[in-house]
Amino acid sequence: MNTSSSLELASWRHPWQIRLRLWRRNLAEFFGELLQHPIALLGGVIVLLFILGAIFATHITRYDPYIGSLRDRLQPPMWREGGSPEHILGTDAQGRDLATRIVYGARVSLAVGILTVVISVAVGGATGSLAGYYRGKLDTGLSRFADLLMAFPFLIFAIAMMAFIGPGFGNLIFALTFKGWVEFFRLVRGETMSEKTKEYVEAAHALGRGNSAIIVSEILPNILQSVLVLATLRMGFFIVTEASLSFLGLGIQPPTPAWGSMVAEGRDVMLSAWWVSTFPGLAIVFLVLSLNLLGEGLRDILDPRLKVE
Amino acid sequence: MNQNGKLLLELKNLTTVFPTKRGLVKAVNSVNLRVAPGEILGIVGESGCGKTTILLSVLRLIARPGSIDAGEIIFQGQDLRHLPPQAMRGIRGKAISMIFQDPLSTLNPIFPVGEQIREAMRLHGLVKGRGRRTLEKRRVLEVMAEAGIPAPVSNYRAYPHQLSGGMQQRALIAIGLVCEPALILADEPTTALDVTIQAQIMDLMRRINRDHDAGIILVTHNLGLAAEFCHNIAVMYAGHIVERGPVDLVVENPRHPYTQGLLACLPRLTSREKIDPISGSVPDLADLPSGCTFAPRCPLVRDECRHTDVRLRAVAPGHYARCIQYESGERYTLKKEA
Repeated sequence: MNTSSSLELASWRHPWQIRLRLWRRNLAEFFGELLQHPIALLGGVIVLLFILGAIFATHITRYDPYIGSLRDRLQPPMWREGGSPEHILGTDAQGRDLATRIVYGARVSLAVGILTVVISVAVGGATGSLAGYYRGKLDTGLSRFADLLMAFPFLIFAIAMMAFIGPGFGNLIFALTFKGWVEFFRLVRGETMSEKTKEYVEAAHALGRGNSAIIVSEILPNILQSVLVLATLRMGFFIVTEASLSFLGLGIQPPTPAWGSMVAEGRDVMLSAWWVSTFPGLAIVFLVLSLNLLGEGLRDILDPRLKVE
Repeated sequence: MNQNGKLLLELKNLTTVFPTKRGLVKAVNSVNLRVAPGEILGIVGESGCGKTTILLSVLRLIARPGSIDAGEIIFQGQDLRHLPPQAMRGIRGKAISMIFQDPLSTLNPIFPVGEQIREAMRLHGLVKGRGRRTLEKRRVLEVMAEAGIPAPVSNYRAYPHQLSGGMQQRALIAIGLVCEPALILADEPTTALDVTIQAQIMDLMRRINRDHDAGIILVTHNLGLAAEFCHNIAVMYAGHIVERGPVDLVVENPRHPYTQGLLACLPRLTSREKIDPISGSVPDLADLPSGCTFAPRCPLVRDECRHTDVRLRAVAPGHYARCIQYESGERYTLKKEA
């Protein structure tokens, strides 16, 4: 009875502590599996590096992302002729250090990605579980509205929306979530509908549980994992869309360093100074690619159907 | 059993219907039943005869568009049918608990079983005040031990899929037991288990019945199991109760041709006789034959069966059958039984 001694009554805790403990244990299990999934691991590590870079941007670089020195305009990357180790990736047309602007640009991209995903999950999750659980007129209304939004191509819709409400960080988040929640609504609605038919839901009713308690504490925990996978994948998509809008001048406005607008700034000097557009473009590629790798990896790890008990 | 005349549960004329495209299906058709405290009542019949629907009706868990169309559900003196939803929720799981057929799908896959048992207790606020959690957990471990789960302390945090089928069913019984309900509704609790485990589970149920004086309604398609385990048996066919009475009378001396047929279907180890199945299948509930619903399959069918309404009638004291042979006999009334 060695195992039992570790779980004596004295160690009895509050429910949320239990949840936390279970969660912590699952987390340990989860990281164990992540280590054995090289693709997900690679994606995760790169995403983590981007996040750390964004948080500690002021410590990584000593340059100001807004003010350049005109003497150092359009310097090539350090490994090219005429480049210097002072500016690893070179400088742009205003003499600003490109590497610095890319690191600061990660702040914008990640902030947009994370905020948009969080709001979309909250809105889509709440509406989706209500619609999937109660069905009826509420479901019909929400689903038709979702279908309507699905009928527009995302980028065109976002462009139209931004043109209408004007550029800016808050407006950008609003435009992206206005259509972004639909994916989560559809996922959560579908999963809730299928979970609702399972016997454990009927058993919960038989125990005297109310509908809202059943949605929140029985059904939602069961579909959290698929939401997590979709959230990771959609985050990459939102980041690309933000970059596209910024490239078109509808998203984050210069001089704020955003990758999309940085690519746009480099267009004019593309033939003489290719690096000004190329490196921000590569940053987008790397972040989105690694988010997608992480998302696909999470799908493999978390999908219980792929697991052998 | 029914010595002091106090009833635990009484169903009067219970009728539960499901509207379908092809018409109204009466899954439970004017059913009268009573359960005394400490009584084990078996409801036996083929799939789709309305056994489970009775249990779900008692808890008012009939999924829409189905509904309880008529009748009364008197539990401990109050009519559950007209109880407000809030009060009904307080009954479910506390005073009446239900044990389902397939334990693995009935347990929530992502929570440890101990937590699920405790949740059942927490839901009804049985333990209050300081040290609640310690007391709750102590009670959960107690119930797990009572339900025959070995090493309850370490199995407390086991996930449903980590347990064997028998253990899962025990965990489910522990959930049903934790609030010490007066009535346990068991919906084919052993169907998903193998025979040796079945015997253990039934043994456990019998002990619960004895130790807690809990009434049990056992729904099963296994007449042999019911005969072994129950005090009284009700045989159902197409939404009707066709025969009911004390287990000895029903099994030793079945009066309804359907019960006789069911008994003939039981395989016996001691003889090599060929099993004599009831021919045909259950009628379409949306399109019931007129007269006796069993007539199309009945070996003793007469012409008048097809157009005469038959009712439950006494064939012996406490023993009733719904067949035209006994139609001249004394009619069953609610008063008679009391």
